[in-house]
Amino acid sequence: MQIRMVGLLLIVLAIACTGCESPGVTEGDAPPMPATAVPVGPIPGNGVAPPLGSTDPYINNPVALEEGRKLFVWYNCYGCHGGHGGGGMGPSLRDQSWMYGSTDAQIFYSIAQGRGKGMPAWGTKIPEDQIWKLVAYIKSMRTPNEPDPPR
Amino acid sequence: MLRRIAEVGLAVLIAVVIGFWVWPRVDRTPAHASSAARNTQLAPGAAQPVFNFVSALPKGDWTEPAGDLANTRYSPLDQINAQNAKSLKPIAMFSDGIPHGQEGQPLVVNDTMYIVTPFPNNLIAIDLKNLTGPVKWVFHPHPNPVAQGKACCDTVNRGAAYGDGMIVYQLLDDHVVAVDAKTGKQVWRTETGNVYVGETATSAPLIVKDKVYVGNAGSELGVRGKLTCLDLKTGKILWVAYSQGPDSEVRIGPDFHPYYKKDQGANLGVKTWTNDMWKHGGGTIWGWISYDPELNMIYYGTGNPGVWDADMRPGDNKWSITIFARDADTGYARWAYQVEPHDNYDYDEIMENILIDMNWDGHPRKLLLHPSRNGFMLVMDRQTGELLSAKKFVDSTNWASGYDLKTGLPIKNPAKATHEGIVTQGICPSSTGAKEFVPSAVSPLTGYLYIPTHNTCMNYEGLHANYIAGTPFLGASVKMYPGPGGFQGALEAWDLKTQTPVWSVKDKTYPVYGGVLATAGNVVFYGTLEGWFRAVDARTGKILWQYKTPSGIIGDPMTFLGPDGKQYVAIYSGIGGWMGAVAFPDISMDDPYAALGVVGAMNGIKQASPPGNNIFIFGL
Amino acid sequence: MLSSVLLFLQVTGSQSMLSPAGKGAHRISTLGWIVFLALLSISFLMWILIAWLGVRHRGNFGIRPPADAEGGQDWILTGGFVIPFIVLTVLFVLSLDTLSKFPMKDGVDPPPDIVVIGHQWWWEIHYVDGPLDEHFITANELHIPLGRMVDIQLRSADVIHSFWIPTLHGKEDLIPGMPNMIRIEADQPGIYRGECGEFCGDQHANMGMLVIAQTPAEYAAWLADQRQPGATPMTDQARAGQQVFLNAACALCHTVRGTDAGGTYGPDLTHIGSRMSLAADTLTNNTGSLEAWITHAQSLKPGVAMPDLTQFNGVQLRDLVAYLQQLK
Repeated sequence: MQIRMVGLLLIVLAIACTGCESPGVTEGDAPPMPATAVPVGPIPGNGVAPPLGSTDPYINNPVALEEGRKLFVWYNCYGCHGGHGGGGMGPSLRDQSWMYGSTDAQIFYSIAQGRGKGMPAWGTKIPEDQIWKLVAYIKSMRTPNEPDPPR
Repeated sequence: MLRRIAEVGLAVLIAVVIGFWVWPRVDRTPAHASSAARNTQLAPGAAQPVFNFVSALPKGDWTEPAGDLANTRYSPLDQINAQNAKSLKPIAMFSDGIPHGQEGQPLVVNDTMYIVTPFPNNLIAIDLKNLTGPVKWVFHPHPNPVAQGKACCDTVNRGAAYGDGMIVYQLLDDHVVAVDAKTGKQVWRTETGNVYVGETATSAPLIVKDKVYVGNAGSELGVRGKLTCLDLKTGKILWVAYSQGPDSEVRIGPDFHPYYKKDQGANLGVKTWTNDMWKHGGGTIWGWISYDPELNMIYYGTGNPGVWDADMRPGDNKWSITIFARDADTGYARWAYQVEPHDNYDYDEIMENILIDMNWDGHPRKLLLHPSRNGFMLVMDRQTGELLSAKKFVDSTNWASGYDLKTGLPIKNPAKATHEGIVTQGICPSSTGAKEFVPSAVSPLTGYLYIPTHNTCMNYEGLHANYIAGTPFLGASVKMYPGPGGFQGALEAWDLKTQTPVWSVKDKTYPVYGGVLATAGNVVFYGTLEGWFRAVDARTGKILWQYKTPSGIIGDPMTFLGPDGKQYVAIYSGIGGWMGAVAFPDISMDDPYAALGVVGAMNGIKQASPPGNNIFIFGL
Repeated sequence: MLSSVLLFLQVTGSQSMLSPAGKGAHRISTLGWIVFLALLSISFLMWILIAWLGVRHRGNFGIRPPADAEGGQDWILTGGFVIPFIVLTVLFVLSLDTLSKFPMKDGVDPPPDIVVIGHQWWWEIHYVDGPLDEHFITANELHIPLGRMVDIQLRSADVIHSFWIPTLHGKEDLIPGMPNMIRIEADQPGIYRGECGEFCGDQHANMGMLVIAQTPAEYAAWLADQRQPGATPMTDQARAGQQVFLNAACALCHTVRGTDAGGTYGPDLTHIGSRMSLAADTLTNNTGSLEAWITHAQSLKPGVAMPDLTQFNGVQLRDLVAYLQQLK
């Protein structure tokens, strides 16, 4: 009996609240989208996710940096993030501001999981070591180790 | 007796035939337009007009993106004129809350101003009777946030159109939405594309009679361009015309008669591509659409052919970079003219096609003016598709020396061709063009076309590109910089009769990236990337008045009569768009190849113009 | 069907230059034999002369005085100048004649029938004859018709490679930034194996290619097949395999025409099922090799661009391979 009353009360409240829209705002038919509208992909490779504190095994490894640069062009990263990561459709990867964190693992996850404003989820597609090479290349930007720096 | 019947029968037959011929040609443009007064929308005491209009001009409101259907951007209002423009002052200022590129223009209908914001594409209704109070309502459509990462050149929107009591516009995530103009409630919403393959929608629709025409965007991501025609009342898709593929998909039928041999043939939308590249063939339609009520035809141009590396797509790549003339009801093409076969430079030709009737070579002719991105001023016969003139309107243009009017082909300069693996230097204009999509305006009083021009050049290297759905299918490394001559932008007045430049107001540092408005008061309005909103004398180019708005102007001015019967001018102030995006904090200046190469041409823009989100209304 | 026909064709010799089967190889072989036999006979003559000297003039100066130090000019003149001059001139003329038969004129190259682009370590082959929309791309296996010369344009996407089918022609380099031309023609139908002839990296030794010469009718049929988009999967297993292909990494680098897979960095797989070998003729094209290549390319050919894709389970892998095999 109690539960039914509470339930009824909740329903009445819910209905009452629909009338509580501020007069100047009208909503479209679709409800607001969640922040990460792009489905986050599963972890690459065998399903073993690098823990959040992981560091990139390829940092400052010149061969891996060249590979990372090649993959940056190969997978069209340059199309959204600029010829040498300076930004464009997507944000700059050369500067100091990082929307989703600047540690190696955080950049890894941004690439692997994708992000809500249009960054695709690469984790299901490309192997883990390729993502680490991309992270190494990104971190080498604006340092003397950067392969093929912009001129 | 028999003869009587025969006579009556013949009369009836003739009447019926005439009826079928006349009925479709009756002008059914919205009520506020009066077809009879079309040709006399001039200031009193004005000289004989240099040309005639083909579509009714806006008299006090502004219901289509360009004011009229023929994209003239000319207003017959003359309260603000060359004498009193110096007294213009800001009357009201609004913020729309979204500090991204404010492209396009507001609409004014029934004493209400309607503004579409950049993503998330809210629609704001401002009560012109109550400029200091709260806005009437805001419509929040909540488009998919993924679209933000697919828009090549900032998350902009180029405006709405009004028809049948509804405001109709596009959302970035490929929806067309119609909102009741009085209540702000959604009437219908139709999906027109797939945002996950990189397709977006940024352009303004054109509403003609009971139809809505919209184009899509995304050539940089290998998206197939298309024009969609929807029913205005219900939002149902009536037909779609693609920019490549078999003739059935391009809506080419037996009525198709291109003027030039190079554009004639069957299934050219497949035959002029190799390796099925037409399936990622670009040709998106993200610019302006024009309509001729008498011929009942729509005109628009298509964008670049997908991948920027020309060597990956040998062939003419039809129908990219093409001006189409289609039957407005069925969508079947009457003629098409490919402005640049086998594009080497990303010279989208989605620019406005201005329709006027003017004497040419002594005979009255139905013209189409197309100030091209590639630096040539194209004048065409809009009935047949014949190219009548193609003169350079920006001097530094060097990718071609001119057009052969007999074959319709550009005379390309082989030294400036682009190839995979080779850096071609000093190509003018750059991919951003001698003129971007921002529209020009014409005035019948002066006979001039007022063009917002760029003087930017580039180095271009084709790269082998990889197609991954939803990511850029680019294939080029581009670096832009200001062109020779000591200026990068100019508002240029172009004489339509002589096809020569008359005067120009030069901008030293930045291209002119805002649209133009011409009025019967002999005033021409436009804005600069530093934020100056200017009124210049339409005859001489003398700057009559200017006002520094807080952010760069990439929108198009429009003018209207307020509830008090006085004339006002409105403009957006908020930098962004392709070149203006460099002003945002998330583009780094040390990478000249960022933002598709524009960084090098926009030095100092971060200091000159921070992002903004304002709408200004000016009056006397 | 075509591949089974090919299986019945003989592999004409090995990659041996000694069994030429193409016009180019015949000319080189002819010149080679002439030079070899001429020089061998001269050498033979010299050996006889040295032997005669050794026999005739053996012993010490006490028994036999040395030959007249003043004499012998005739021998030197004839044997040291005239005969070599004649022999070398003849060989020179023959060489020039052979060279001139390989048209390598500066200036305008004929429009190619085929463009071969060398990659580390595979061959990208573009068929560019005929109307634009009939051009297509394949990899590592070149088919040519009998009865006419085939003009091939050679380009490189990275480093210098060399196009060498020993039984058909000599070597011709693929130089980045500079297109080269080669003309080949085979005498009879068959499969001719070739290799990269210029050191180009880790896997230079594993960069083979097959040239298959067919009668004009068979060639036309093969062309028509290759121009078709990828076969639509007909079985459930193949359909499942197509889903695996499109959702995993494959579409990022490989193209299968007719699907959304448009990657251009790896070989075109539209008709992979019709090819005789994989990985530039390193592996035979069968189920086991395909599975091994997909999961452990780095063990089979270390350093290639194809990564080890170990994320598939057994069923997915079988389905994927079934899909690839039906792309004939």
